[in-house]
Amino acid sequence: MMPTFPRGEVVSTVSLADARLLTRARSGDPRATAEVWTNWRNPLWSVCRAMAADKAEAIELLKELYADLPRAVRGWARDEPLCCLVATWAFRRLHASLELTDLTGIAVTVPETVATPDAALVSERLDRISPQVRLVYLIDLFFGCPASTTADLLGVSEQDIRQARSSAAWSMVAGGAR
Amino acid sequence: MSLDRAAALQMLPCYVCNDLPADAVAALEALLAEDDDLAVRLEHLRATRDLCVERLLEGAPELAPWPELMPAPAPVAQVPPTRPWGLLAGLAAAAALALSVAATPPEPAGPGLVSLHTSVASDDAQLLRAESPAALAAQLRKAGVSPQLAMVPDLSGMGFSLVGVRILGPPGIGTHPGVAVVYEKDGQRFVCQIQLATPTQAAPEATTTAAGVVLRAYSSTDGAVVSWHQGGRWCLFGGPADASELLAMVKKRMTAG
Repeated sequence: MMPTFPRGEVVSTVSLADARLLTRARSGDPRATAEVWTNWRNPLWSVCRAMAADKAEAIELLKELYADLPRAVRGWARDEPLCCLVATWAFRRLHASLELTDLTGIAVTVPETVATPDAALVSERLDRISPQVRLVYLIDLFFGCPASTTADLLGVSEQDIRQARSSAAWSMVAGGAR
Repeated sequence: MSLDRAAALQMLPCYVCNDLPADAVAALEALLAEDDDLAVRLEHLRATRDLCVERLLEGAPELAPWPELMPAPAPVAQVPPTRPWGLLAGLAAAAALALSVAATPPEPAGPGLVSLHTSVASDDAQLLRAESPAALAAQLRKAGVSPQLAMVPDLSGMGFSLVGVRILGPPGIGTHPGVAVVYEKDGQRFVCQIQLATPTQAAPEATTTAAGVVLRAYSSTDGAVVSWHQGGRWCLFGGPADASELLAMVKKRMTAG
């Protein structure tokens, strides 16, 4: 049975500093766009690394994001948190570049036993999660955007985002540690 | 809102993400207080999430600037051949400046960082308050703090009681947007500051590593601050203690999960 999550009541608002930075970036100020990149490039790189088969592919994914940012940022809405705009833009781009499938119908399996994996097992478990679900988990890890906002910006169901998040989180702790 | 165990299990990952409405949080926390297995599962989810961030976070490679966006360099002024003295005077001034810069020791970062922490810790009127770290984090979000910064670490396990949190950034105190969470222990105030911008480029007085993360310590006569970068954000923990004591505290907290 698919779980039903409470939804829509976690409000995210925009910080004044983010709004100012976004206004400058939208108007084509190259320093503002560079500042957006500098603030978020490390989380974006971490997501690319965990989604790519190897470092070379990760660099290509990062370069694609980098090349697209100046164009993308001009269309970002002023009334959404900047981290959510970066997160959903990266999600959409990586989803397309890696030709991932939709998030509908993700099953959530709560394991009988749970344990925190050791450091070496983390990468192994991440790799075992289907790429479209892994991408949701990684975006959650590094951008911390509410599911309702992510869903709105991506035009997908909030329920699908929450199920993907839940499915990935339980997969990461399923079974024993090594 | 009432919650059965199956629904609580489904919601736990969203609770870890701090992404549930207040009534669901209250119902889940009531269940967590009486269900040890659920509480243990929560700890494993949290620890795994932290471990993932720690394992995956690394500095992005430098990429070439966007050529179409970067302003063209300013044209270099041409020195007329008839005015060699001006060129010589300019070179002499540049050499003198270089010598004076080389002779000036770098400004220590400790006093600035510690004084910021001290002023935040002593101004109760600016603090937002709530009963729990989760409730305080929710207040931060409502106040417009981005989700990446709206964090209130629970340090009760180390004997620190939560006092409140202050939103930093222009036009108020602090040079970068962020949050400063104020704690109290044995009558002394400590501050945990979270921000995206690098707090200082200055060399630390002492460093150590905990769980693969580099911890940097700075101090002044009033206390010390330890900074580290994790999960895409900078954290600074400071208070009236010496650098080695603070390094040990932070290290203990990070290695204990």
